[in-house]
Amino acid sequence: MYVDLTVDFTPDEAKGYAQLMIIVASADGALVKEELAIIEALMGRAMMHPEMRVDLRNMLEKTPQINLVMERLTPIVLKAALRDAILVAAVDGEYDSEEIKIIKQIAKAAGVKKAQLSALFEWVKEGWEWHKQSFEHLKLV
Amino acid sequence: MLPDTVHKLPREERYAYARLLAFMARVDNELTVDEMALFEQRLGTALLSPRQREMIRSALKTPPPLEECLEGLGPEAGRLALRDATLMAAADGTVDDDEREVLQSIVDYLGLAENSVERLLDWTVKGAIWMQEGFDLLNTLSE
Repeated sequence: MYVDLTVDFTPDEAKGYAQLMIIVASADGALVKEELAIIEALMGRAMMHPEMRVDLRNMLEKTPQINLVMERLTPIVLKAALRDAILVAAVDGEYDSEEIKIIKQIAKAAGVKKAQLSALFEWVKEGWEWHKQSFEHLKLV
Repeated sequence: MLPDTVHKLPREERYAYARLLAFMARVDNELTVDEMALFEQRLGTALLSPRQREMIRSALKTPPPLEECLEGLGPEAGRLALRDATLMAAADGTVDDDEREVLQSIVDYLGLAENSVERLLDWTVKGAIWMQEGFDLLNTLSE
């Protein structure tokens, strides 16, 4: 149940997908540890080659241009990136306006409608609630 | 891939956390793609150094004894490791008796409530439903 479609991406698709995650994480200017952790988690879940991860980490300092990244990605890669971009944007506790702007750009490129985008945001919110329950079960709150 | 506190733990405890997951992944002597994907995801969340990740990946081949894994865990790290070990146990779709026994040993070691394993397994099922909803949502986008 944990194998995501990102595992089947070609190396170039995987790279583009991770670049979009970096762009979203860097959007509000400050890259926090939570954002780094989720990017590393998503690269791990996609089972990216360790060398590719090193290349991508280097991009954290010099963010690639979104249009150049998106133009070489297929709709399915863009949709997966859109879903996970919302997770990345949410991870520091709030959505920044710059992050929202980038998410909308990805949604447009992926051909995703407004109502569907709202459904994705709702799905992320439900995931947060689910994850928070684990801290309650473990008495970590 | 949701907001977590694993990355805030001391480095040694993050390493111990990852070793416990390596142990858990091998309890049933099989390593499925699902387990590997989850394992790599959790290593990423723990923000281990590339060198530590290499060492942990080799722990998958020869897992350390459970007692040794538990010794390095503080109270918070132990609880988070228990939670993620439960996810790992369920990753291939079933939790067998050996896996359940290990989870109960971790609960006993941490001195948690007797029904902790059941509660975490219920929580894991809810998470699997949530993940599936995410896949379903992706499939319906712009249909």
